[in-house]
Amino acid sequence: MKKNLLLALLVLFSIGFPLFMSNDYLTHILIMAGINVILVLSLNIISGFAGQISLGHAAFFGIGAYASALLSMQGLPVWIAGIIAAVISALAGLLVGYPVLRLRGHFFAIATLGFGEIVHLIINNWVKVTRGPMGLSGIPRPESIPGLDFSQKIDYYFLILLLVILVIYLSNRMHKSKMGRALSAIRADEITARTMGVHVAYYKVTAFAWSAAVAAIAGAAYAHYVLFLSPETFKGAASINILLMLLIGGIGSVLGSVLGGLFITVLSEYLRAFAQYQMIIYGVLIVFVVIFAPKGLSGLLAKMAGLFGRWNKRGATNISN
Amino acid sequence: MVEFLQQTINGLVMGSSYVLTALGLTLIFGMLDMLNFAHGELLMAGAFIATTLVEVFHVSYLVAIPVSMLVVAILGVIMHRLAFHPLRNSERVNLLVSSLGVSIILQNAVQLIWGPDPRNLPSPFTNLQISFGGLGINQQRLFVVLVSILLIILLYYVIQKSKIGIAMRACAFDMDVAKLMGIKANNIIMFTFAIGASLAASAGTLLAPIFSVYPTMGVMATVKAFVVVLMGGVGNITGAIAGGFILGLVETYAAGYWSSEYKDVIAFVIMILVLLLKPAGLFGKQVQEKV
Amino acid sequence: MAQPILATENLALHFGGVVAVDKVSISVKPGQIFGLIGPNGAGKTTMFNLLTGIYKPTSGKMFFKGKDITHLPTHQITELGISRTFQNIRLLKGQSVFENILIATHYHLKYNFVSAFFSTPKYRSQEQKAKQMVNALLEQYHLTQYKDEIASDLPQGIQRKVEIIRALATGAELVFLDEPAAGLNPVETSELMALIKRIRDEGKTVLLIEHDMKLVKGVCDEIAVLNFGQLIDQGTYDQVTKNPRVVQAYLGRRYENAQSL
Repeated sequence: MKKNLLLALLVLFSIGFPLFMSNDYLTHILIMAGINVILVLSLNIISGFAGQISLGHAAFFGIGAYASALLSMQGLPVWIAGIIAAVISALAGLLVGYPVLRLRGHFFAIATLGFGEIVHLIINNWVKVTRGPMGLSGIPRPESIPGLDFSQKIDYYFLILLLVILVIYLSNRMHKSKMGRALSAIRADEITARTMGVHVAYYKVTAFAWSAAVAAIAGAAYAHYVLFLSPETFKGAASINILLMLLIGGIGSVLGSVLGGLFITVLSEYLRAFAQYQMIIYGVLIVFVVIFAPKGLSGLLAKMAGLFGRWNKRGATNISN
Repeated sequence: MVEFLQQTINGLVMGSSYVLTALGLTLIFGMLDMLNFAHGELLMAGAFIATTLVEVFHVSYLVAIPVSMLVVAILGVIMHRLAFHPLRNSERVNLLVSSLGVSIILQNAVQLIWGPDPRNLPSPFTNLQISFGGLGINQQRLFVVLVSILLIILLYYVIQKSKIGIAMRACAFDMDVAKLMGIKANNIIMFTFAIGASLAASAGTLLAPIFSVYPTMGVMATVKAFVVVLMGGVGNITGAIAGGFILGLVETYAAGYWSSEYKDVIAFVIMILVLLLKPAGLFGKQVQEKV
Repeated sequence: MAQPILATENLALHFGGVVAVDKVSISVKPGQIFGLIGPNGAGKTTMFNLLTGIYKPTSGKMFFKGKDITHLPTHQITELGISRTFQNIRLLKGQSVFENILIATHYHLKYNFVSAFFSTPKYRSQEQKAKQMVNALLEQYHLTQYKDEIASDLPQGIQRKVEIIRALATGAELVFLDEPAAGLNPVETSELMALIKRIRDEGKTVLLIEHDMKLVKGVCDEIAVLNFGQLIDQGTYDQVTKNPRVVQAYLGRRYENAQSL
């Protein structure tokens, strides 16, 4: 209940905020934060809900971005291209996930790491299609829809906000349905999950396909906002960055995914001056979070809310006494 | 024919470095059910330490190799104590994530100290050739293969014959039973980290004169080593040795006769095939999980 | 004669060179409490793992209500109506008693993700029904007070009970209990005996691995004895305990158990 209220407040704030603070730089940061939040939420489906650590998530971000960009450059409407890109990405997820997710243990982490490298290699070397290291330009903006014509950053902001809300809703529905429960059981203990009638491989592969599709939507949004794609954006470090956001925010938690995406995006902006120390700080943060706060920011928040609740209650009884 | 032999030598060079890197990884994987993503960074650290010893302190290359192996062994133990040991009772996934953090720290620490630009480690053998008929072999490459084989035999002997090696195998087979038998599992784990780290460092120092040395060189090394571990079967020493040489040869032939750009894809294709067809490894027996 | 609810034909499992289960043929009548006993390492738990599809047999066949289930994966065997508990209690870590039991309703829920996404009436009614079913079971077996507790933090006796109720919640007709009395005190054990009988009296069949001979004697209608992976006898408690091979198996390896025979 508390979580829902917090999310509702966050949404209201997100809608109101840019109306009063119209500043292109700030709006840009928020759009990038929103894209990151979608990416983190997508990773949370497979790594948080299902407990399968993916180390190549930037690959699906890249597949979504390039597929949507290339399709729309062939004349397809951006909106359709984005959806097709999500489907392509989901299929790629099936292709990687099917052989690997049937197996237990760490093979998935290795396979996704490898997949991430392969996709990056292909984007970099398939110059005829992707234009390789020179980068892909001439990507169209989305066709205008009632209220938004995408000539200004603020229009993109509202689109991304809508997508974020949609993905949060999707995540919550998934988590509360039998699929979410099956994934939680798989995360806790695969043998037990199977014994309870859960088709473990099916759910893991399905979760991965969803995860890949959502990441591709973030990719499409990115492509049609930035209007230029470079292989650099989708290399291994980007995958680690998404995982970092999820870990800091709180793996398995929807609220945590949102917080992690926002926090690290903003922190990275602040740390820009200390770019060379940034990654070391992140590395130390990862080790610290895993050892001392495995539930991340959302865990800390819950703890604080608990303390506050107790303090509040105590205050109330004092008054009534 | 000459070209083929040349490729074979190159393949053996790559293969021996894969074996040296994978041995530590497979031992730890078997023992702790843990993927150590920072393992390749130990190779990188070994290469940087050796380069600094030779370039700054003018130590001989042959001395720099064991010194950097020793330093990295200590680094491996410190890494275990700080980042992995505190997580011994938590979910296995947390160990993986923590090792990822360590890998990022090491990469960027090295980048801060030595800068991002590639360096070269001078070796007395680099510019010498031995020729057999029409075949010219670079002495450094020969040196890599010989030293690697020596180290592999040494490790094999330690694991199969020595008391500590038997304890290591016992821990890898069943940690709980090993503890009941009076084996100090913690010491064995630390020893294994030290051995694994120094072997990775040896791979780094041996290859450094042939390829360049740069902060992110460990990433691919980790990935390749994982593929080798999978090929050989988790925890399987003999499998890792065979797997490493096979991967090195296949990759080199593919680069030579097909495409050097996509050479790195080969490893992943092999990995996916192994996972699909022989998930217990090319040489492993199918093991049922204990329930 | 009624068709057996569960039957195996020369079921065997080899681990490398070790024969863990050696051509075992048993048959279990519906409505029985069927004991599976034998010294440690006799292959009892391995039998459970084979019958629930967690291990794949090297040779032989197994049938549930006449249907060949030899090659079915675990989740399909569960759907057909077999469920189990584990020797080393496997409750889902960090999840409440309610959540632990709710997962057992998984395959009863027939809605797809689209209806979950739009929260359709079908989705809501099925979810509600599943949750009511779990609540009813908790009430019926006096676990309601622990509903929201983290299952793995509870005393062992309660954890065992939660695991048994979870097995029942799958709707299984045949329930495997793997050493349910391990770690229980005498009071808890006698409660457990009552619970096992109650499960049978509700029309289910129970297959029970147990070392506690008092419990075996007290509840089992029929018993199969395994030793070194082989079936050495099957019959009533009085029959099998008179069999010299059974006595030998216990005397040879577990004297204290033989005394209690």
